[in-house]
This record gives sequence, structure tokens and C-alpha cells, in this order.
Amino acid sequence: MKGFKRLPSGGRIDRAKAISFTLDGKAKQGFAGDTLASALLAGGGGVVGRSFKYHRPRGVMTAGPEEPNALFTLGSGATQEPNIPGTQAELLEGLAARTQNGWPSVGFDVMAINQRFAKLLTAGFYYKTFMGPRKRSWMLYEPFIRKAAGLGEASADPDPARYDTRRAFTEVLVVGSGPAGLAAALAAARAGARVILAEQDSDLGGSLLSEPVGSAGDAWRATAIAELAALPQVTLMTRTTVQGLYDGNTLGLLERRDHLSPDPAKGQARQVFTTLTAQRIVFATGAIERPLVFADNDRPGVMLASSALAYLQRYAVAPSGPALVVTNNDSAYRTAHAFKAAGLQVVVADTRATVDAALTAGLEVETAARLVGVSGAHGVTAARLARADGSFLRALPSTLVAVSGGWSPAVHLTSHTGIKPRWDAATACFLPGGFAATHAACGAVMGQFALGQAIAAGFTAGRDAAAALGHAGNSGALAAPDIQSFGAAGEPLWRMPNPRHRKAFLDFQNDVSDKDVAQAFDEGYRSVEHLKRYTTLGMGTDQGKTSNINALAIMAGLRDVTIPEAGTTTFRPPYTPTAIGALAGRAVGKHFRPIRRSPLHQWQEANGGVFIEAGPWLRCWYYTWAGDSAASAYIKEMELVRRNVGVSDVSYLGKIDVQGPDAPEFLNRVYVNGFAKLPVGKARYGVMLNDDAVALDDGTTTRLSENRFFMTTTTAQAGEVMSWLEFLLETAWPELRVQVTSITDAWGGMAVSGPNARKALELTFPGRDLSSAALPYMGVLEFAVEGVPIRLIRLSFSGELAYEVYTPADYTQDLWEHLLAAAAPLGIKPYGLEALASLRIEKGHVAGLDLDHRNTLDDIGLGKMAGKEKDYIGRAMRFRPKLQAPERWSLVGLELLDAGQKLRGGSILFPQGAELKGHGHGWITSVTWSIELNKYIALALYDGGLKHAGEEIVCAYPLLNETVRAKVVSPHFIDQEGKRLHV
Amino acid sequence: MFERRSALAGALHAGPGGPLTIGEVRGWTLWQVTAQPGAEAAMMSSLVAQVGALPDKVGLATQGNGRTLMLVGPAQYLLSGGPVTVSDAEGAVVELTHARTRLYVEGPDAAEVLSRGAPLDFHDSAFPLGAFAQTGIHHTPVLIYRVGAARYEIDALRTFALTLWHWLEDACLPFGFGVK
Repeated sequence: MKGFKRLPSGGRIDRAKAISFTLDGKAKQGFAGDTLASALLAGGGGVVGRSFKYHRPRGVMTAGPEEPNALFTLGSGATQEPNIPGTQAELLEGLAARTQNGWPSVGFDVMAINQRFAKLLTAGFYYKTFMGPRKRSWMLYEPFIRKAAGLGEASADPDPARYDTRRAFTEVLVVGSGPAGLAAALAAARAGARVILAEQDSDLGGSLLSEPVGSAGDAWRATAIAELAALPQVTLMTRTTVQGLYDGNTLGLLERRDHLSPDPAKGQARQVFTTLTAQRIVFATGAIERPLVFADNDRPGVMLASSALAYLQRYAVAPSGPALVVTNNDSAYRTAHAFKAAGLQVVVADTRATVDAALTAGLEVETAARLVGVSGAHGVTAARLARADGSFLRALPSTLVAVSGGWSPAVHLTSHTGIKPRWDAATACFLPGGFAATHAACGAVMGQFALGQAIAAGFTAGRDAAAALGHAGNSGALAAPDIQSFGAAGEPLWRMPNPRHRKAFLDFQNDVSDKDVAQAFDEGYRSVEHLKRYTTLGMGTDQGKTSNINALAIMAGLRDVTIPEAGTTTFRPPYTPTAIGALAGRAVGKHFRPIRRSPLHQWQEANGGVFIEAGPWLRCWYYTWAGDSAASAYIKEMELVRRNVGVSDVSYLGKIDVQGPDAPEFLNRVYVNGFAKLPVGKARYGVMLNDDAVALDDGTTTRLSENRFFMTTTTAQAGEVMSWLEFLLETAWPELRVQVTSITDAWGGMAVSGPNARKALELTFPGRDLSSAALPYMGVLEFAVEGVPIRLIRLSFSGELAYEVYTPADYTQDLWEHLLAAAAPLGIKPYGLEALASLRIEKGHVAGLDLDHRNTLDDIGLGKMAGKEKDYIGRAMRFRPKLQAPERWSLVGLELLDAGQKLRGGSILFPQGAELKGHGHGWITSVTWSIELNKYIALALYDGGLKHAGEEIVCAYPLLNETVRAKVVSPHFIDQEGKRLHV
Repeated sequence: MFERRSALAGALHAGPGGPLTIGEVRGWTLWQVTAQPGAEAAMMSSLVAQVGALPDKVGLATQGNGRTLMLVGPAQYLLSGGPVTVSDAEGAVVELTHARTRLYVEGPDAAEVLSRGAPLDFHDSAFPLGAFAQTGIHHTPVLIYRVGAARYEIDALRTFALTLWHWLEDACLPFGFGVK
């Protein structure tokens, strides 16, 4: 017999709208307004999953996100999503659901054999069994164990759906839209506050959704919602779970939009993650019903009493046979009366000896009763009741056993910032342990289970929140609906006698039973945190929402302490599982991170430029005129510069405007070398150190006028240098009259390099005197062409006669094109980053690769640059003995000795004959093929530096198991006298 | 020989159409003006003489003499509409016209689009007409200026402008947008 059926009328489903879906490939039907779980129950219910460890048959137990049993894999292929509670999955046309953890099917599951070995599979089983015989044995066993455990699997394919993230702000956030939440939102909004009401369900109303459609309770709900919806300052967010509370009243909200059939091609997001800042928060998060602990309490057909009510009233799903309601408190009478009113056969078994007659009126009630077992493996068929002493009371045919062990307030969010919940003996609940000044809570989360009490508390909380923000509007009054209120008064009795020692589960998802808790106790895992980790209690995707209190109570009993003494585990975000995709939002694919482009990027794209990522930049690596790979092209581009003239984009360099009467003094302190007396119209190379004497950056700074300098930095360090200069001006020397401004984006730049560089510029700027007399080495000329400013600085990175030409960014491409056209008769061509970086290696100029934040001025061979008479940042620390030790590494050049081999960046260096072990005596920082020497050369840091000049050493590259021989030489491979710079 | 070329040249393709309009604002100029330590009062009176009343709070802008002044930090202004003269002793003036690319988004969901990237409250009570803020979108610094009831201008760094334009197009997609 099927356990459940759809009633011919009633519920909040839309019977005019049939929805087709599949379960394990079989066609099924439900209605709009159903969840996957309610549709499956309407079709008969029964087994919808197998348990994690013992593969026991399981049915739907709840009607909310706390569901531990009815977990499904939804979708297939790239959209496959595992472990989704069927109780939260709205039924959508074409939904493809698969059961989990059963093979070949959940009805007949081979692994159910585990039930026979249940005695072996107790708490700590894995740790005890699979740790030997060798140290790494667990690695061997784990994949097989995971496969047998059979949790749902995610897809490895890219998710085609779109996710979005956004920021939002509100004055008052109300979490939860039950009676307390609706009242809070109304009171705050009527007073004039901006309110967001967030509800995880598809519909607003919370427990009022379990009132019959059209009833007084339902009408109250509808009126409240209509009023809120009409207020412009109110935002209602359904299908939105507040996942976490963080510092500064920041919250994470996950909104699900699958019901809208979002189309990623139209930019419609499947889920939206909102980072919300709320000035005030009212928690109206409600409570989650507790199961009872009794023999075989995991059988399909055993359900929480409030869930059974929700299935009846929301989804018109009812048991096909008699129902038994077993409770230790008043709240389950709401279910019993509703069943009775719906014409269903129902008996109540109450653990208490006496129950208020107002509750029991018209019902068949057994008091002082205990539930000692149920029959039916794949669906409950009967239940047995006993007296407290274990004596037989009664056997009842039942297709539904609706249980209530009381309620656990959903204190999770209130606890996320570190406030532990406190035990309240009167309600036998953990309640919020306290609140930040801007937080409040109301309704069931505060143990206010009676309807009128919840509404009144909610109204007050909402009004107070608005008043605290200065909203003095009149909130008026709000009367509770005139319906019977049940409350949840009861006795703290959760565990039923279990004379036959059958399995009685606490954590259904992770298959943790009362015996596992006893075993943890016996083996010394008595703290709740140890209990959790040893038994895996509360560690499933439901995070123990239905299990924690029952387990705590049992552990407290075993330890002979009170529940508050036993304590509770820590609540952490997220409240329910959150897909990583939702957190990533649109930061995937080409939007993964921003891309920085030079003003010449478009020209390069259109003219054979090939790009390489360099930090955020896409830099032009090489040009296809020179070859179709970087390895071949850069050599041709180097030859162009050494023999003729080339032009390279240097817009990537950091550029900083330094202005003010004290600018010379400032630069003099920042650079190791002197800048105070740099003449107007001259540029100078400079190195700056951190205050621990490690080289921070190098570059050139040009004095444009008495009080104005143009600084360039390396591309990589531009941001760091800028903030370093600002830091110094704001903290170390606030009295200096200097302002620094990043102008990296304002100016584009190009380096014109090669023996014919001057000729190229003379063709570009006809009539302008660019002779060495007019523009000597390290000189600057500023002039305008057609009103466009040009900054022409004669300096060289390549070691050839070279100039840097700067112009405002919007004009850079035109200048570049003009230069290429004007100097075309010379054969000028563009060259890229690879050639730029290789030319400087031949010259022995250090760059980012060699300035890796570990090296001092002396390490890079520039100690002689530092001013002897002046102070500068890093001077105090520069002369520490360790930094001056003769055997400390410093910059050397290397020449490869074996033709046909290669030098590789990152190679570890060893003296000849030394054992190739450990970190070696240095490493290669930069490598290139030298067109001048016709061999591979490198810059390296080597212990003792040039003391070893002329020695043969070994360069090891362990990744390729490669060693080559090299000779230590000067890092200046070409033109050591600098003749080429001064022509 | 020289024509100003936008960082977005060739990138502004027609959108799918819809209630939002996005595009680039061209033809403006921008300077940063900052007082030197100790010369704040002198520089500000010099500015008052040239522009008129100054904004007194970061996030506020004033207009005068064809210029807009935004207070972006202690005695630091962004100035558009035309240059000002400030002596070296008083302060530093740096032209940033070419350092920024100005995008705009206009339409009923403009604020929602921006909230997909910027951690700002765009509610009328917090970001009224005329308000601006320096903030970040997609890991890059931007300045957002509310120039109409439903129109916002976004000053992006020129080198990040194209990436931000692509971000903006994508952010507008679910709402529908045209490019103008």
C-alpha cells in the first residue's frame, strides 16, 4: 500500500498547472506549487533515498531545508547538482531528479548488506579500520570508501548557468517571514524605515502557510503581505536564505531563481548572492521541530508533526491510512486537529500524563504513552505504544507516524559572530545567548511559540528597530488572527524505551544512532566538539539541524550533567549549503579578473602583436613580423635594435608626478643616490630601498622644472612605489611640501632604440635639433606638436642609443603610427617585451626578476651608487653584518659553456664538484640568448658574487633533471664603457 | 596628425536593446588640485576666487565659473571644465584628462547595475543627485557621479576602461540595454 496520497481538493498548489518531471528517468507528475518532496509523497511516498552508511531505506521526514533524508541529485551533465533537499526543490517543468546512495536502485540496494555488518560500522570505524598496515594506507582505501558511501557527485564540467553577486543596504533587515517576521517588518516599515524581509521559502508566511487556504490565519497573512508589498520602502525577498552574519552587520543572502527558468544567454542568473549591510537586524528565524529517538525511527512514513501538517495544508498530501501523532508537547495537537478536520483518521500518543483538555477535545489521545517501535521496512504500516515502564499499551495500524520532540529555535545566525546560545529550562531550548546592540529577535527563535506572543514580540522588535534609526512614524497596532494557538509547552523527553535494542537514529543523514553517542562516551569523546567529530554527528549537508539537541541530551545524560553543561557546538556560516558558483558570481571566464591594456593595445592587436599576461596587463610579447613564436621572434627584434632602430611600447611603466617646493629633498631621501642637485632638464637613474634595506624598485626620474619631477617605476612595482611614497609623505615627513600623483594612465610611452634612433626621431619631428648638444644623454626635451605635448627623454634600457617618448594617452597611438611611418625609410619596426627584457640582460640592467624583494643594493651590484654624505631610506639597515657578509649572494653574469645546451631561469647554482643537494649557492634570475656573444647568457645571484669571476659552476634544473656548465662573468656583457649611449 | 582616441574606440557595439542606456562621455577635461601642507587656506581662497564656493564635504561637488569641483580628500579636489592657476607654493595641479575614461549608465535599473559591482548604497537618502564617490568595480578604482535621477557617470582608469566596459555590458545584460 502506498503511504501517502493527494487529496482531491485543498492546498496551495495550482491544480490547473500540471508539472512533468522525472525521478531516476521515470516520468512523474505534480502541480505548480509542489516541491519535489510533496510531489513524490503525492505519488505515494515510500523510499526516496538510502542512508549514508547502512543504506537503510529512507523517506521524506521534513518539509524544509533541514531535511536529512530526501536528498537528490538534480539535473545532469554540466548542470548536475548533488545533495539537494527535495523539500526545498520547487517542482519545475522537466526537472530531472535522481535518488542518491542506492545501487542499482534505492528500492533494492546492494550495499544494504552493510546493515548486516552494522556492528562493525560504528563510530570511529574508518579511523580504526583503515589506518594500517602502513602509514599511507588511508590514501589507498579512501576512494573506495567514498564510492561505497555514495554521496551525490558534482559535475566536473563548467556550469553553464549564470550566477550574480550584488551589494545591498537597508535600515532594517527582518530574517524570516513567519507571523513574528511579518509583524516586525510591518511595524518597522509603517514607522518609515527601509526594510528588507528575507524568506528562504518560496512563499511568505512561515507557519501560517500551514493554515488552510482562506482561513482566518491565511487571511491575516495575505493582508500583511499585501500591505508590505504596497510600501515602497519595503523589499520582499523570497527564496532567499540569509546564509551568514559577519562583522559590521554584513550578511550573506542567497537567492534561488530556478523557478524563473533563467536563461544565461539573456544574462539571467540562476542564483544571486547579496552582500547586505543592515543597520538593524530582527531575527525571526523560527524554530525547527525535533524528532523523537525510538526504535527504527528512520522508517519512511515517520515524519515531523509540523511537516505532516505542512504537507496536508500546503500541498494537499495526506497519509493514505491512519495517522499516529506522537508528541511530548502541545504543538503537535495543531497537526492532529487539522487531520481530524480534514476527515483523516488520527490518534495522538502523548508522553505526558496529563494534557490540557482544550487541546485534546475531540481527539483520541493516549497519555503517558511511549512509542517503542514501528513495522514496515519500506514504509510504516503499524506502530507499537508502551507505558513508561515498558509494558505494552497498544498497537496501531499507521501509515504515518508524525512525531514532535519539541522545537529547536533557529539560533544559528544569532550565533555566527560568536555569541553562544543559552539553554532555557522553561522551554527546554537553546535560545539566542545575547545580542549586539543593533540586533533583536522575536517569535519561535526566542521560545515565543504561541501565535499572539510571536506577533506581539515581532511588532515591538520592528517598531523599536525603526525608532532607534530615528523613524518616528506611527506603527499603529496589529492584532493577531483569531485562531487557536497551540504553543509548544511540553516535557523534555526525547528518547523512547528500546527494549529490543533496535537502531534509533539521531543524525539521519550521517547515520549516527544513540548507540554511537554511547560508544563515543565510553571511548572518552565526551565533549560535544569531540562527539561531533568522532561520530560525524551534525556534519552532513544539513549540519545537524534535526539532530543536535537529541544527541546533546543523551550525552548530557550519560555524563550526568545538564544540557547547558554539556554545551553546544559552534554555529558557522553558511546556514544551508551554498554553491561556490554563487559566491564567484560573474567573476568567471573573461570576467574572472580585470585586464589592463596599454593605449597601444588596439594597434598591436591589429598589427601582429602577440600578448602575454604580466600582472593585470596584457603586454605585447613579440610581433609576428619577426617570427611566429616568441623564441624565434625576439632574436630578430633584438637584432633590429642592436643593428638599426626599433620602437617598443613602454606605456606599462609606472609614472608618478612629483610636485612641490620640497620635491628635490623628498626624492633625495627616497632614492639611495642624490637627487637634490639634479639640474632642470636632466634625468637620473635611481634605486629605492625599503626601510629594511631591501631593494624596492629602480627607475628614472626627470626634473621637468624647479618644483616638478617625472618619475618612472618598473611595471610590476608601480602600485607599491606609489603607496610607499604616499605613506612616507603622510607618516614620516608630513611637513614636506610635496604631492605625488599616479599618471601611469595619463601618458603613453614608447622607447625608440638602436644606432639609428636619433635619425628616426629627426624624421618624426622634422626641424627639431636632437643633436647631443641639444639633447645629451640623460637629457629631456619638452615640446608640443600641433598643440600635443611631447616629453622626449634620452635614456636607455637596451644599452643602445635610445629615447623614451611620452605623450598623453589619447594621442599615443597617433604618435606611434606617425613615428613608424616617418622612420619607415630606415626600416624601423616595433619590438615586444621579450626582446626588451633580453636586450637589458645583455646590458646587465636589473629588472623585476632580479629585484625580488630579497636583494639589497649591494646584492645587485649597485652599492657604489649610494650617497655617502646623505641619508636615505634603508641606509640604517644596509650595513647590517649579515647583509655585508662577503659570502652573501650578489649579481653575476653567466655564460653557458656547452654549446647545444640551454640555460634556464630558476636553475640552482653549485660550485664545480659540489654535491647537487639543497638550495645550492645561488640561482639564475634572467636568461637570454645573446645575439652579440652567440650563446646563452644569464643574470644570477651567486654566493660571493664576482669574487668567483672566471670560475666554472654547475647550473642544475631538477624539474627536468638537467645540469649544464657555465662560467661566472661580469653581468655587463656588452659595451661596458657605455660608448653606445653617448653617440 | 593627432586626434584623441578613446580607450573604447571600436568597442561600443549596439546592445540588445532595453530600458538601460550605456555609453561613453567624451569631450571633458580633468585636473587634480591638491594643497601643499600648510598652504591649504591660501590655495582654497585662490580657488574660491577662480571658481566660487567650494564643497565642504568629501563626496560633494560644487559648480561655478563653468567648472565642477569635487572634494576627494583633505584639501584635494578634482576639477573639470577648465584649469585653474595655483602657485607652486600653494599646491600641485596635475592634468588627468587622459588618465580617465568616462562611462555612463542611465535607466530605471542603473543603480542596481552599479550595485552589482560597487559596495555603495545608491538609495536616494544615501546617494542623492549630485553625490559622487570614489570606490571600486571589478577590482579597479572608479569614481561614480550621480548626474541625473537615473543617470550615473563612471570615471574609470583609462588602462582598465575596456575591461570595465565589458563588465558593464555584462552587468546590464539581464535588464536589457542599448549603447549610445
